Amino acid sequence: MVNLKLPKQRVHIQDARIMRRFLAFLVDLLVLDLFILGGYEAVVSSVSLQQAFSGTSSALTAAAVTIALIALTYFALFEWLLGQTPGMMMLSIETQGVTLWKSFARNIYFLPLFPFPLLWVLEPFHLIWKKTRLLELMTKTRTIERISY
Amino acid sequence: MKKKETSLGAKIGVAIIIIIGLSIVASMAAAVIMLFGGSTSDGNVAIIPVEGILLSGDGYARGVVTSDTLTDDLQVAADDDAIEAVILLINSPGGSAVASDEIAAAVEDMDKPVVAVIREVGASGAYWVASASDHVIANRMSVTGSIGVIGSYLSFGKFLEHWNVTYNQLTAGERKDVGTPFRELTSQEQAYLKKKLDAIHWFFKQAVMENRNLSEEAVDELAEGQWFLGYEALEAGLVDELGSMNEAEAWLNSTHDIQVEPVWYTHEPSIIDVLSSLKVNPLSSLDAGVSVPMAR
Repeated sequence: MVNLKLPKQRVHIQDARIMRRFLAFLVDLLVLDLFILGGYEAVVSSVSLQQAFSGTSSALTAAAVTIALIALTYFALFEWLLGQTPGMMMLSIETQGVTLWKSFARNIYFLPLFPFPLLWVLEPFHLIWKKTRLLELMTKTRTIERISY
Repeated sequence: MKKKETSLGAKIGVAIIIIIGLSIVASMAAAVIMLFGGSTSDGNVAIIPVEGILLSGDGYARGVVTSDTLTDDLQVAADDDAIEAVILLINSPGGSAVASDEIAAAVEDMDKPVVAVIREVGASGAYWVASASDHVIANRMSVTGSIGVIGSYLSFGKFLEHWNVTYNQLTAGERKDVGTPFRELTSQEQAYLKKKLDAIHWFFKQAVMENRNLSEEAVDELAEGQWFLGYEALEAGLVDELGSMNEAEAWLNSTHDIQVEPVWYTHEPSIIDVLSSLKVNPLSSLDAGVSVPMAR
């Protein structure tokens, strides 16, 4: 075999691009919906619109809290154990600097308790302007992609 | 964790374990919520509103009652040991013949006393349902009766002709496209469809005859499609008593020794009902009365 003596492949690490992150997030929501949270359709079906809007359904409140906790656990476990969620695997991005507590902290926006829902507005703006999420900044973690050349 | 050393196979394995684990936890939590999240009511008489047009199928929307919803409610009442009787609170102009028959059959199958209280309207298919109950009460001004069948259709034949559009349809079977809106019905086809309506009318009359213990002659006179006010219906034997909920409670008390403590079986459209709309046959006619879909 001919030894071409090619230069060693170089890898550039950069913040993951927003579109990739967005698509990965959508894939993860799809996985959650299809494979994990299917049982909640019956709970939501049992709640009337009137109850939902008036906030009088204890079942809906319990379901919302449980779904949020499961979503939080999903992202935290994947990021802690594998460094990637299934969506991130498909879009070739990964997390860096994640420990157990940091993985939970960087996904805390799922909790439906004030002030965390505010992060649903703040995080996308921060991501667009600073190329990183606010919670990533606070937990000193990153979401990166590797570009080989 | 040394993530860089994790092979793709191992990653997939861990991912599957996490997904299965979370799925189990989520399902268990959903089951617990369903078990303890629903409100429980005390009472011994199920009050089931029959409000709106009767349609076959399931789902729920305002102004519509589906046979699946009502028969399910009746089944729940039948299975609940705490429920001693059922009051059907009727305010409906009727609807699909099949839905009416299905609901009436479920009412007949109840082994607990069923009282029908007709409020504003309990006509046609809704009267079919009421007649299947053990005791029928109507307000003296309620609209009831209307024992007849409607089969309505739209015809675009002349419209197409006016615009020089030709309707072409190949069929195997002479009557396969009877009822198509794209051409006029022939007189033979009208007679053919009329025969079907007559058959449904006959089923309706038979049901009223048996349920109300009326003679065939009496039902023939009452079943020309005419409607009756409550007091006329009482004279004709179509209802047992004039009144409202109070009379229903009094009847249950006097004949079955039941002190009525109502449990309302009400349904509000769920989020999913609204989003996915009603899962019923869109070809069913929405006319009042016992109606049949004319499209194939």
